[in-house]
Amino acid sequence: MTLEATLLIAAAIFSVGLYGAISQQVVVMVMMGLELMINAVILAAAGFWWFLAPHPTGQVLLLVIIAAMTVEMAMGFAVATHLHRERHADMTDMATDLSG
Amino acid sequence: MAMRPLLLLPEMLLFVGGLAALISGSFLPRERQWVSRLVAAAALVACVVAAMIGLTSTAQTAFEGTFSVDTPTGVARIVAAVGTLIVLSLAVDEITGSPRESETYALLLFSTTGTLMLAGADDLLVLAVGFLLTSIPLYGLIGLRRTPAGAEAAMKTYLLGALFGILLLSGVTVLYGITGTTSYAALPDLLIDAPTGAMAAGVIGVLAGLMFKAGAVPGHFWIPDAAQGAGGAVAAFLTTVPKIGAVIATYRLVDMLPGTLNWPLLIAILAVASMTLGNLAAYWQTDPRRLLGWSTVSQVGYLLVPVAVAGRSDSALPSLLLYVAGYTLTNLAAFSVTTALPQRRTLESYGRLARAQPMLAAALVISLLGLVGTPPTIVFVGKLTIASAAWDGGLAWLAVAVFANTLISLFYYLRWIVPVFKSDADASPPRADEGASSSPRPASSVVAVVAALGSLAMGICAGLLLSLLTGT
Amino acid sequence: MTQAALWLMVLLPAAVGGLLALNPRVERFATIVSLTTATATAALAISVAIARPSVSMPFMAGTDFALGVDALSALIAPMVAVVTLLVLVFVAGEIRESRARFHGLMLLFASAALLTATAQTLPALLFAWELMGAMSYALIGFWWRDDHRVSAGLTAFVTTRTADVGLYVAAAAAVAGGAGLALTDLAEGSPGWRDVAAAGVLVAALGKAAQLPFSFWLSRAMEGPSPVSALLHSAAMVAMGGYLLLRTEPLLAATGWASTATAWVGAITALVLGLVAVAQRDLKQLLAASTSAQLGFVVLAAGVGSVAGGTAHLVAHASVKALLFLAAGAWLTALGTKRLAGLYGVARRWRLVGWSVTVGALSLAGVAPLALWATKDAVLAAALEESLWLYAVGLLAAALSAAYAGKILVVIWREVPQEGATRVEQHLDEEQQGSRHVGVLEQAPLVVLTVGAAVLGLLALPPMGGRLASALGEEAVDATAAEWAVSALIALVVLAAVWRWGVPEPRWARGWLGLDAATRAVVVRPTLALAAALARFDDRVLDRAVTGVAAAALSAAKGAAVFDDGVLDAGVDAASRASLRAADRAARDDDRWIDGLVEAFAAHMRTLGQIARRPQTGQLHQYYLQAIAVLAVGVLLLVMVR
Repeated sequence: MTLEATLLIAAAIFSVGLYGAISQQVVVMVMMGLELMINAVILAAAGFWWFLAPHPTGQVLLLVIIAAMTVEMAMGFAVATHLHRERHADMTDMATDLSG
Repeated sequence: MAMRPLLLLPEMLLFVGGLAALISGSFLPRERQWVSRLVAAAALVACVVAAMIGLTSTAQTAFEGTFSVDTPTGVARIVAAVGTLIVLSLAVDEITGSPRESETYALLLFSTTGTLMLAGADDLLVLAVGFLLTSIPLYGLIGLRRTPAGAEAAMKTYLLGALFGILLLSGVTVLYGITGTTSYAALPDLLIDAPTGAMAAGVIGVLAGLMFKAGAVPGHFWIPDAAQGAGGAVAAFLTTVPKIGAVIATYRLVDMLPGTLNWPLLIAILAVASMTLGNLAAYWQTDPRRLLGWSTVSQVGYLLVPVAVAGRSDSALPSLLLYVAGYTLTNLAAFSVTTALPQRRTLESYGRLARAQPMLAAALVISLLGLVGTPPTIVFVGKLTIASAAWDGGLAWLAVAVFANTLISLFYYLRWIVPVFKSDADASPPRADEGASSSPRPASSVVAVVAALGSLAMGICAGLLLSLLTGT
Repeated sequence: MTQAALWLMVLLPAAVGGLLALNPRVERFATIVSLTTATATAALAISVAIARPSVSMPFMAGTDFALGVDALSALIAPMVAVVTLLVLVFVAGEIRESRARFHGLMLLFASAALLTATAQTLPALLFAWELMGAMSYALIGFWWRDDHRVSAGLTAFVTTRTADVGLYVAAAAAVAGGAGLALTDLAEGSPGWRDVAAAGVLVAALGKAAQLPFSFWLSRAMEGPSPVSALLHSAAMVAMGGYLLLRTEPLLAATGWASTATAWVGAITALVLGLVAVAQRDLKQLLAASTSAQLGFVVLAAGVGSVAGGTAHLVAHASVKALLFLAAGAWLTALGTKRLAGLYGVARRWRLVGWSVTVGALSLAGVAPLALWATKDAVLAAALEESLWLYAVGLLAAALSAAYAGKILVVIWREVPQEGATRVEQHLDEEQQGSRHVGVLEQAPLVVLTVGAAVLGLLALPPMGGRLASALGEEAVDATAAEWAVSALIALVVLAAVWRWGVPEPRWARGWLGLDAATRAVVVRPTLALAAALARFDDRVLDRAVTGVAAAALSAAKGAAVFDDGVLDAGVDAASRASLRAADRAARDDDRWIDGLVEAFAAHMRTLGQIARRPQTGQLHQYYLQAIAVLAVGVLLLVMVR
């Protein structure tokens, strides 16, 4: 496993995630796309840390990203539940009152 | 390089104050939640005092060079804390006795702490943490008002925020990957030789996150929705306080970057795009809060002007700080008027306001004309200084764009001001449900008048403020 | 300055082509815009051929996205640009519907071909190569309402794509072997990896150049419009396969085995596809097979290290084959058939076209002193130095090319006897309604190409041949007088024989050796079966992906349409309305002009305000798209504008 391979895989996962986030309309599915993207970032950060700079900064970066992922996702499910309760909607295009 | 945790006293005060408000709130009965509001207010006041004391000493860095405590940080602390204090006063009318009162206060304080971390960040990691700490309480705040529109706004803000947060984290990761460090002190030297493509992608990622927080193009989509869907106090908060940290963080970031890529042009384009889009899109709005939301998009465009000439004009930083302070106060004044009159949700419903509520009408007119940039309000001085900074920094066209946009913005602010002065004859009689006759909320009214007068006073003392900012 | 010209040469047709292809509203101006662009591109190509600039852009670690013009590109790039121009002139006369899309795709294709011809590093080459493949798919399947045509485009795409994998393998091997990704450095890789790289390049090039065993896709590609065949199968895509081998000749030579393999594949393709061409009864099929065969000579040249000869042959062949394909297209439009049986005596009907084709066919046959005679002999002379067997096979292939060229000549000039006339006429209009007319625009390019078909042999004859060889950095191999004479004589004898006795049409050769069927059995059907199995296994996933892609494309299109309708229309409307109003007001009362001005400005603002609200659609996924698009533009801006 080289850095190039790690980064390539990360880029691939990131792209798939981005595509998912853009193409999906179910809130939870969009979140899955975002989750994939952030996993790719974790992978890339881990790769950089492992191969390039074995320095605490990289570990802290990893921790920050992982924490971000956890908190963002927890928040996301709260928002999705809230949306469902208030509007009976689980898709982004069922909530388009605010526009223009 | 040392820890020096005491330098971060204001941030700690806010965070601990937030925790205290949360904990005290959970032990208090609903009718006595005002105690936790007092706790929060005390924390904010203490923060302002600590920040003022901190401003008197010279610039230093804390936590091994990852957080700088200098004039911008000091100004951001004072402005953000005062801004949150104003929001807290608006909340008196709106959420006293509501089921989630103390939580609201806690979330406000946490988000403010995040803003201050953004403003002082001298390290990409701190920047990332600041971003998260500002954003996540915001999603909760927007969703707190349990309405369909609030839920929609929370969903949109969250999904956009999550995407931009990921972009920011990937930007940080890329920059870390090509340099092996995240510290602003070490980055410039390492970035000079970095591959430009990767550097561009990395910094665009970080910038994207900051643009989301500031509500500038391309991260502006949530601003009008959240301003309309969220509660009044929260709307006032999210259109002002997070921007303070985001804009100063952008300034620090751009100032740090080496000149191998054309950052000023990119920032200038984003600035012009934000101000123009905000001004044009505000034109047809009928909901005053949504109008203000779009107006803040355009204001961020102005705020980015000095960022575009960061490091190339001596007046860039002072003008930025002056504009931030002036904008915060003026924008909060305008929002206070809308929270004082929560039943008036259309521009037409402001008809005959001048007759019914002369003080509020005056506050509204002062704050709106202030946002346009009419002398002698503070935003006028701010616009003048940022335009001259742009001119100074070699971006004359940007200064021209600022003035052209000011002209455009006059149109929509006038659409709101005109009905206020309509006489009985041509105003449609207010419908009962619009509640034009119901009395305005007391606390918000007072805040509106005080803030509007404050923006006038600041404008008059602008010369003094500016000399303070450049002097220290 | 010249660097800008090089960028412009690639970007101008790409930008204009993109605009035309995506914007059907410009139908009226499409022809003129595209011809102007093509002319400018040709001029730029010639200017860069003289100035020889090179440019590079940092792309990824260890390599740049570099373009440059050396002696080889200096010939190929103008060839591509000029043939594109001529083909587009012809198109102006022939294609009547969806012109904008057609011209746009052709320009995009030309841009990709120019990029291929000037690429100096593998990333640039891969990019251009992929683009070329995608465009060929779009062009062959241009009449997308006809299923078989789309399927023909698909065959071309899948086949060349399969072969293209070789290029990726080559790129990976080049990196692994430490050679770097510059095309000139490929030969310096460590031995094992260098062999892999050579094999990858070889497979990719043979696929594009329609050499054995990939030749059949060219047959299927004949379903596309004739101008497409003229461009793809003369100057651009197929030729680029040959070009790639010429470009990487040092790599092939460095491995030892690869150049021998290349030479033999080329020679055998020239021979076998020559036989296939002789057996064809359809003019375009004949020309397609002959293209494979003639490219065989180019591949042979790359194999025996005669880059100069190969290049000369490539350029001269481009002119000849573009001419013949365009003529076939003109007849197809006029008579509605491309069956040789329906084309008896056609040269007598349209004299100019007839004589042009005659010169082209004689050149193809290798009759002295026309172009392909000289260039082919330059290749064969180099082959003789390598091995007598190669030379013999090459000579045999040359005889075959005289045979199929003679077959064309016999058909188009032979008078039809009274009793046979009805048999000929029943072929007319069998494919489409003929117009019985060949216009000026369709004839003009033929004349230019005829001149090329006649005189481009100079590139291989002394003194030009020697100069070209030294410019390409190799020893000139001049054929002996005996060799010149032998090949000219063979051509004449075979032509005479064909005129007198006709040619046999072996059934096994007529069906392109069954390669198509074989591929279907070996590759396509198993792939489809696997796909079906996978589909059953997870219907949901595939289904979702497809709907997702379709939906994304649709919404992108919708977005573009909204932008188009909304912003452009409203902008134009607002401008005209406001100026009308302003004019009105100014005329009506002078007193109130300031008032009028302010009101006109306000009206402007109102309209702009409406437009500015449109992006705020309320649809979150559209926000995502907009944000990502703006950020992508931001990255581009930073990288491009310094």
